[in-house]
Amino acid sequence: MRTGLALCLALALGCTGEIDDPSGMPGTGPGTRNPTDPPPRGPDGRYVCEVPVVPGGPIRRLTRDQYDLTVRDLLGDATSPARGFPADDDGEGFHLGGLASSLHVEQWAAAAEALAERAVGDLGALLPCDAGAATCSNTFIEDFLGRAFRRPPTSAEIARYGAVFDVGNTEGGFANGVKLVVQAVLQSASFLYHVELAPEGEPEGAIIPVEDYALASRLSYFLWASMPDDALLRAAAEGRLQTREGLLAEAERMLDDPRAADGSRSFYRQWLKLYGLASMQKNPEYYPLFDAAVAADLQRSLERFLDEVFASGDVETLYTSNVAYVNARLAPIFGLDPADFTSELQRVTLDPTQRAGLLTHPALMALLGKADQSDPIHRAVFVRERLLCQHLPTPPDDLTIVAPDPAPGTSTRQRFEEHSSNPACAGCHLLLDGVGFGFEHYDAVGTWRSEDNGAPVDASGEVHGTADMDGPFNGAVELAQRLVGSEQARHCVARQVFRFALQRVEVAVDACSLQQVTDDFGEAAYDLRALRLAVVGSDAFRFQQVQR
Amino acid sequence: MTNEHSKSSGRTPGWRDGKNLLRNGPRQLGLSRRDFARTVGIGALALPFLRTLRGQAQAGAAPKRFLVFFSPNGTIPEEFFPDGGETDFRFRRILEPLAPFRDKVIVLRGVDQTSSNSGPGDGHQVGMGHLLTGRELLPGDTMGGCDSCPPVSWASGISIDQRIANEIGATTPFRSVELGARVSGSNIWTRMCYRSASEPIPPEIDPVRAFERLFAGVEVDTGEAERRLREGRSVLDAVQQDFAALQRRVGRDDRARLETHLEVVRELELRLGSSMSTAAECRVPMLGDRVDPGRNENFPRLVEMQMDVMAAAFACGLTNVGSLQWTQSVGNIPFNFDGVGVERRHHDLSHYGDGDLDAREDLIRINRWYAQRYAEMLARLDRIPEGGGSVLDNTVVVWVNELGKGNSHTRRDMPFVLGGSAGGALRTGRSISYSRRPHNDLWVTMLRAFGIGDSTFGDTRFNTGAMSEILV
Repeated sequence: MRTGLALCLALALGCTGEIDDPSGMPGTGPGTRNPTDPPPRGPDGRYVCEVPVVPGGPIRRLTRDQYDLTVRDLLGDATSPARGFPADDDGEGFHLGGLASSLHVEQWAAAAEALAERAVGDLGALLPCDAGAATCSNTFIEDFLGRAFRRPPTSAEIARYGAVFDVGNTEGGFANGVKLVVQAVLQSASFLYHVELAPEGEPEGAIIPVEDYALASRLSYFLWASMPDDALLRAAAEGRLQTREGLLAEAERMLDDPRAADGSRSFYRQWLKLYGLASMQKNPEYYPLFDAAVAADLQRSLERFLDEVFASGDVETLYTSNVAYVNARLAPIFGLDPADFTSELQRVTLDPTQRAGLLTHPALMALLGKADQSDPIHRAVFVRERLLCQHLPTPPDDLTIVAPDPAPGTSTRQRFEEHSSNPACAGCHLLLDGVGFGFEHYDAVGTWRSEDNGAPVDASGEVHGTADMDGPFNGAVELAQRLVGSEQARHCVARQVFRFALQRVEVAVDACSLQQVTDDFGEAAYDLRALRLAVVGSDAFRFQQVQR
Repeated sequence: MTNEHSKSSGRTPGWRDGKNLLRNGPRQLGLSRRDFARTVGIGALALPFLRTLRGQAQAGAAPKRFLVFFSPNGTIPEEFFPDGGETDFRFRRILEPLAPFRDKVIVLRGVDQTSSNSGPGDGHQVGMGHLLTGRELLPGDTMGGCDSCPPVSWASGISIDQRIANEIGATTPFRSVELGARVSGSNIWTRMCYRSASEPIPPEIDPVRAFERLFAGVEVDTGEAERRLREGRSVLDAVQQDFAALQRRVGRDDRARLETHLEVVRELELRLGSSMSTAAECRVPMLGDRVDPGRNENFPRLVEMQMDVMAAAFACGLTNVGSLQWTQSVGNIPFNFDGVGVERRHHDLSHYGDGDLDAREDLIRINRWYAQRYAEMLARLDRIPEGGGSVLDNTVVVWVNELGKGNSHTRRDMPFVLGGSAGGALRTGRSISYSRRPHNDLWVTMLRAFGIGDSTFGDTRFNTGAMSEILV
């Protein structure tokens, strides 16, 4: 029997009991033309949006996901070298890139050399021309730069990399020249950064349409997490992306492409913070069957489900579908008989009173579980931050908490309920416990349980501090239904997709764009494909602010 | 990989002795690249960090070195700080593993992270961000924020290791080397070293990659070295031209961001032709099998390997400034390893109340485990002879933690330990008690030990002067 009591475990999450504006928009006063102010609101409370307003922002670079998929599509190299790069800075959980450190630059250099070395191992696949042809080096350079830079190269660039080719060619022959070009291009700013230039003469602060090729890259890095394909670059060249219709037509085509799964996977891994799934460990004393293979299968099971939801589902499917992917190894966790399964994941429907979509998936419950017990606090934090886009308040500084000694034989719930008896903790635990206790039917690996430590599970909870889903509920299945019906929760999904699409966190001036997105999302009955199209069509996606 | 180091037998890290061709000094400059690669345990790796071998020790006096050793989540003060007086102190359970180095360490008590009571951020955030900088955190903006704490982004100034690197880093191929294990994500909780405001430096968390970065580019064949040098320069020249062309067309803020990148590319180019010592002290570590840096069960092995790499980087003159970061602020790994046996996770444990004796015992074991690693790092450096003493004698290894105690998030009574004397600049073998001494003073003291004349470090409001008691 465990005697420990993690009292005020969520101290770092705040105990003042207040929560920020769920709309997430700082300030609601009437807008001026200062681009950092929010837009004005009309009498109906809606933002009044006459002209596109978008914020300026720092130049973004390829994230690790984007780097790996880009070199896969550019060079056919699926070795995912970026997995060893330093982590991307995160904003609200999304990978933003960040400043280049010495370690980054060296790893880009090392990866570039290794990728180039492998690329010239199959010159035929790399070159658009016969290696023996007199003009082949030039043809290659122009073609390769166009794809690596995601735009036609300038003549200065062709000359610059031509000089690199000449050095390599002189030192070690044609293939060596090609190798050196690849190596240099993969370290260049135009490859590593999302370059979005403004035409000369546009004044600082002007709001202008994102130019054709930069917009093509926005589209492909949002929908595929990778570089544009030839068809998209052609659409950019022909100016077809400058109309909303043309842009959406390309987006539709791209969402039908298998690469769309790369984009949605990159999105939901960041949104739901699923990166820890594969390395989850549980206390073998309590969960002897849980090992690395189970963790890997759980990850595949959840990702198969999410792939399906993002390919053709809506918010309701996401939160309440009772479909799951199960194999023999996972069957016991799902409460099913392993004899009915093979090692392959099989699509099944589960007991709808016990399982509902994402929230009760054992992979998520295990990820949000401790090594030896459930974890109501972190499950609640997940709901608040990831699904409702709330921030929990910062705790008072240097608050010392001394826990009372726990009574033996108490359930997790009883032990955590002691939070609310301590006034220093009660504030934020009102926000957390009431949500977290709803998950008590799921143990540390996500198995359904009706008893905890000998006592019947009490999964009753109460939501506080939301715009439209407060009130008592019983169990995570009911909580999931509550999320489907909540505008705050649905808008949060939209906001998370928006953050991923633009590789930045929204600011006040984005209110109009977000309003466009949530309007379109609502009209499409909260369909997740439509949500991505709505983001593509928004002002924030199509316009940029000139920086000088 | 078919590296020699992956074929080494056993798990014990060690120095390659006896057959080590590098030990014989200048003569082996005639080795072929293949022989050299076999010697140091690298295969046919082709990396751009080309260096030539320098056949003797660094000229002149032995260099001073600075190393940060980080462990997270506070300590159990009653079992950390020694009993007794300044020189007749007795270690308690956590620091007991330091006993063999009793005469070479200084334990500081009563040092507060006073600066962190100022400015935005919660306990862990300020604890981490102020730790080596002694300044307020920057308010959050839309970039680089963190999840449950919108108001902060990064530290607002340079960290002490980098300040020292600014003075002594130019004499080595790497101005500093940051290594770690089980560090995930990039945010205020996971970064302690800063080149300047908002410019955190990530640690390399894979020891094999760290090894490759530091050692694998070594080239022995002069003709081949020159060819690779010419090629490497032409590549980096083009990269720099590309950056310069783009810089002319972007706004001023982005120009500065690209300049940061370009600056590092220039450093990389300078390093292309740099050299590495092949003096007797330089022995390349045998790392053993590559281990997955993402898996928790590998943590003890990762820590050992990174310490081997760091010791070798010092011994081979590759850098004189380093840091070793074990997990991160709020680091939450279980210590379910042989000899520790703590199944619960570190940060979870650090929140239990003082009355929970099981949790307290687990935390003592975790902190004692870190003390053992710290002692092993001192031992690694002490085994390498240098001048009349050891590399340790010319180094100061500062053990830091972002909190004093986990369950209160206090930054009073921070558990600082110094090991080594920075070339005789520090009076070691002591346990010193201060009263509410701002930790900025410790960093000024370190500057003094490195002969750097600044009278303050970090936020000047939290400087009261160097700790003269520990300076010679």
